[in-house]
Amino acid sequence: MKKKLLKQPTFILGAIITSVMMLLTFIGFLYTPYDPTKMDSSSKLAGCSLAHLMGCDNFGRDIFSRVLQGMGNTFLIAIATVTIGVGCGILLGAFTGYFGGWLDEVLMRINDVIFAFPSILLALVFISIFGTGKYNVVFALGIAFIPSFARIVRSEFIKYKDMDYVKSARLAGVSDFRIIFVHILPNTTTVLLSSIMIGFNNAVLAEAGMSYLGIGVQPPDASLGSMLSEAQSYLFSAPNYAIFPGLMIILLVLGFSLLADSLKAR
Amino acid sequence: MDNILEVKNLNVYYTDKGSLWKRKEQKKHALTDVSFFMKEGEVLGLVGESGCGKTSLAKAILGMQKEMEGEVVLRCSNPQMAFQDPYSSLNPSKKIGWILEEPLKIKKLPKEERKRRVDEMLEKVGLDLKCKEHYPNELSGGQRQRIAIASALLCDTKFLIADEPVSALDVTIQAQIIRLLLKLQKEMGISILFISHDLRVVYQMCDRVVIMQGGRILEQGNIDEVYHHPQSDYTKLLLEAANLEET
Repeated sequence: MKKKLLKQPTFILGAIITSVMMLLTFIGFLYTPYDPTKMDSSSKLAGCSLAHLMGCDNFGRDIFSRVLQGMGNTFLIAIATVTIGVGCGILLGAFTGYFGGWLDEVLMRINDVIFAFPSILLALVFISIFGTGKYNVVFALGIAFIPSFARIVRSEFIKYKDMDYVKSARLAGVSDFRIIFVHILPNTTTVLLSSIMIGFNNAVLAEAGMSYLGIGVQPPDASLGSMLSEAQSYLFSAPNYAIFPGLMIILLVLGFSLLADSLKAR
Repeated sequence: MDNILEVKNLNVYYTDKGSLWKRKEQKKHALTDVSFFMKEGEVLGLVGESGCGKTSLAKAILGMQKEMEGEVVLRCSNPQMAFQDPYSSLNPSKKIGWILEEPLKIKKLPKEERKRRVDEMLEKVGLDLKCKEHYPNELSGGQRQRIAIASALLCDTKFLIADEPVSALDVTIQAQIIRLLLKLQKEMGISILFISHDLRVVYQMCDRVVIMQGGRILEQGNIDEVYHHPQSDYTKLLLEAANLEET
């Protein structure tokens, strides 16, 4: 039975966290208290104060401003990654699941091969071929994300393609294309939505990982992952440098996880 | 009157192809030498236990069966089917109005015409116009079966296969749906191939009956003849089990 979403505490908590994070991200696009790349040698590794809410980093840049900018970068990369993964995954999963046959067999085995690689490793292979940078990371992670979505969509299509309402649509002369996208796809949204949420989390973490390794967003631009990476030499002298970007990653992922959970529980 | 459907020496197989690597071909007969006919405007009952090939036969008639031999002549351009399970025969993510309009959209009818026809059909199957705004899971089994029948008939068909349309419903609703089918059959002059395992229901509905067992036709003929003078032992057994003596 469908439970009212608004009565679930996980949904409410997830929605609050996510909307605060979205708001911060949105503010970060328009306004930051300081220029996130402006260095100031007088406030190197400054602690938290009213002037610098989250303190300053080793170049004297305001961490709060960099976190705002970094969230924007991380968010955009995650969204773009999930979009590529979901878009291609839906197409691939829908066609293989609906039509079946040898094409399904071949594509799904290729899918298995990609799936067998850890996504970070696969992305590293891409980066080593195409070079570092924001867009290459998006592309690489996007491709690494396709198989999991393709599988989910495919299994849903296999479940629905022999339903009686699909049979009667076929008898009424509805084209295969329309059956796939208009008749079956809307039925997969519940499952798809929660896996998109989880995929988004994985993308945030993967981007942080890539930037941590120094192959994602390039300095002086900030992303949550690259800030963590830069902060690791100052863990003891200036813990606030690492804590705030890390906290933001945790909150971003937590909010979406809670939302995904409550959608799945429905 | 013409025969709307003629089936001659129909054989249907299912082939077990094994997997991609292991090629072993095994043919299983689902239907063996099935021949029968249907006159225009009649209700033909197709009776048999589950697994005897009733649904295979329906699929073969609709051209959904790949591996078949023999001849199926259907003098009707768009045969339709009403399914057994009223819960899986309607798309759960669409409103009833959308479901009913879909076959008309495929025919590219203008919007007002579609609306008019849907309203007309809803009235014919005895449902309120308000149900267009509901999702299938908000309706009862009987209401859903009415919708399923309505959507099949909206295709302007003259031939309907009803695959156990009432066996998932309780008895009072069964009677309503049967009356509805008979009424529509008379009004619209459609022929119905009524698949069932329930001899009582078949007796109420059908003009003639075909008895099947294990993919073969055992007996066919007028309903009274078959029911009162059954030829094969299997038919006698079925009639005995249905306890129809008093009729």
